[in-house]
This record gives sequence, structure tokens and C-alpha cells, in this order.
Amino acid sequence: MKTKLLILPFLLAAVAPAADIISGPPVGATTMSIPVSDVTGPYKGQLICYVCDYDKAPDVLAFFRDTSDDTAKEIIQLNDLYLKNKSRKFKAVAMIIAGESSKQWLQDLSRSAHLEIPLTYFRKGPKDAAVRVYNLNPAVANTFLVSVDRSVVANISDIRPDQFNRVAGATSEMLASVR
Amino acid sequence: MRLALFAPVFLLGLLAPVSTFAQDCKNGTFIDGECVEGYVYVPDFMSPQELKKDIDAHAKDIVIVDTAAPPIWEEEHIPGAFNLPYSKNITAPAELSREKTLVVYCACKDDDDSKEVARQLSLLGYRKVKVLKDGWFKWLELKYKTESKG
Repeated sequence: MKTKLLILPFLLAAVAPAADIISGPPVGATTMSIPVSDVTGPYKGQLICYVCDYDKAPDVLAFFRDTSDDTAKEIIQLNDLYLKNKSRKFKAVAMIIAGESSKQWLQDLSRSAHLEIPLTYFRKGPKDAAVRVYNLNPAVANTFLVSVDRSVVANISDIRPDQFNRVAGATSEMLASVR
Repeated sequence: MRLALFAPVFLLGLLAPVSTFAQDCKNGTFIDGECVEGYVYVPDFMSPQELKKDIDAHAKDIVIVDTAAPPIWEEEHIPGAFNLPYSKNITAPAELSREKTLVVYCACKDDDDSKEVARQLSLLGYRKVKVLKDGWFKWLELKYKTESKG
């Protein structure tokens, strides 16, 4: 009985962070390679794995369910975060789960907002194997994975544009730790 | 009481050879449990054309290793490829032969994942490990045959 009581807090501590995850892998998970169709990045028109390309660099892998005004605002905020930290080898990529239908929208957004981060989409849309690799929840609008050295250090999901400071904060913390 | 006194001595006795062993390999790298000094991993590449020739010839002395995550491997892979997902700490699966040549590939522009997996496999004692040059993307570009699980 005593042993059970002693073990309980450890079990709760282990379960608690996982319970907060509503989409994407938990903190500590390895970021796996996924090929995406590049629309505006250095490999535009090709299938490319930005997870491999960024490798051990500190980065934000941003997954968006579809194109919308909120998605546009968050992609612009992500680009601003990249511009602020790119001298520190920080990288960022936006991936639209919806698929090829988002291609023109991504091109227009990149051009009109003068974005530097690559904008990409899942080749097979919501049925792409990448959705299963990253355990992306189709019910949520977005999933931001802050990672370094191929490990997730923060998972922030289903946020509104006015909550982007959570991604920026987690990125600052990560960059401070890799100094 | 006696046991309490003997236990630390016994534990220290057990740890001593381990720490001596670790110190002995301060300037080296453990490869399959042996300390090798001055070890530098250099990937040994195989071209997709060579691999295709081996597949067409039903070569029995090669094992193709795909480093993709299981859902991606299940969807499409090089015919006969074994799935060993990328990890920072690979545990060698028992079914991976040490006698055959392992040809590792990934879907990365610079073969980053396959080079890393090949490096780890060589540290685990696999002597014949090759990296498929330009990996999965080149294989697709050349329109070579692929297969799905089941």
C-alpha cells in the first residue's frame, strides 16, 4: 500500500505533460524526416525534407490545418520570429496540411508579405503519412514544434494569432539554452 | 551491520574495472565494445544504379535499410527495404544481418539521416554499411520501382 502511494506522484508527474498535448509529438520526441512540397523556399517545386535540412539547428516546425486569415497572421509572425533570430542559426518552416490546393495562396502570401521562411504543403493533403508521423490532430488549426538537435522542446497547439507569444517565448527559452 | 559494511566495498569493486575501462578509451571511440583510437566515420556510398543492379540480380548479400518513420515506410519504399527509423540512439535489431552489406537510405537532400544511422550501425559493429547516394529522392527521380507494405 505504502509503495503504491509513493509511486503515485511519479506516475502523475509522468502523465501530466502528455495530457496537455492535443496535437503533435510530446516534448523530448525525435523530429522525424517528412518530405513536403516546397512552394517558396530554396527548393521550390521539389519534394524536400526541411526537418533533415535543418538537422540539429534550433527551429520551429509549424503545421497549419488549412489556409485562413489566422494562418496568414501566424505565418507572418513566424517569419518575424525567424528574422529576429536568424543570426543565431534559427530556422522556421510553415507546412500546410490541406495540400496542393494551398499552393497559390502560399505564393501570394509570400510575395505580398515579403516572407523569407519556406512555405510548403503536404503532397497528399490530410491523408499524407506525415500527419500520422507527427500525430497531427485534424481538429486543431495549428501545431508549433519548437525543437533543437532533432528533439521537441515545446509543443504549442491550436493557438490564435494573439497567442503567438507562446511560440516566441518557447523559442527564446530554447535559444538561450543553446548559447 | 556486517552486510552494510561489505556492500559499499563490493559495489566499489564492481565499479572500479568499469571506470578504468572508460578511462582507457578517453581518446578513442567504442566500436562494438572495443576501444578504437583515432576513429573517424567516413560514409561509404553506393549509387542508386548499383543498388538497382543488385535488386535486379536478386543479390542475397545486401539488406536495404530505410530510415523513415514507419507510416512513411509503409506507404512506399525501395523494394525489400527493412525499416529502421532514424533515432539518436539506435538499438540494432536482431534481424539485421552482420554478414551482409547494409545499404542505408533516407529522404534527405544531403543523406543526413542515412549517414547518421550508418555511423551508428558501424559503431555497433556492423562492418559493411553503405549509404545510398542521394537516397529516396534520387530513387524517385530515376523512376525506379518502389513498393508498399503488404
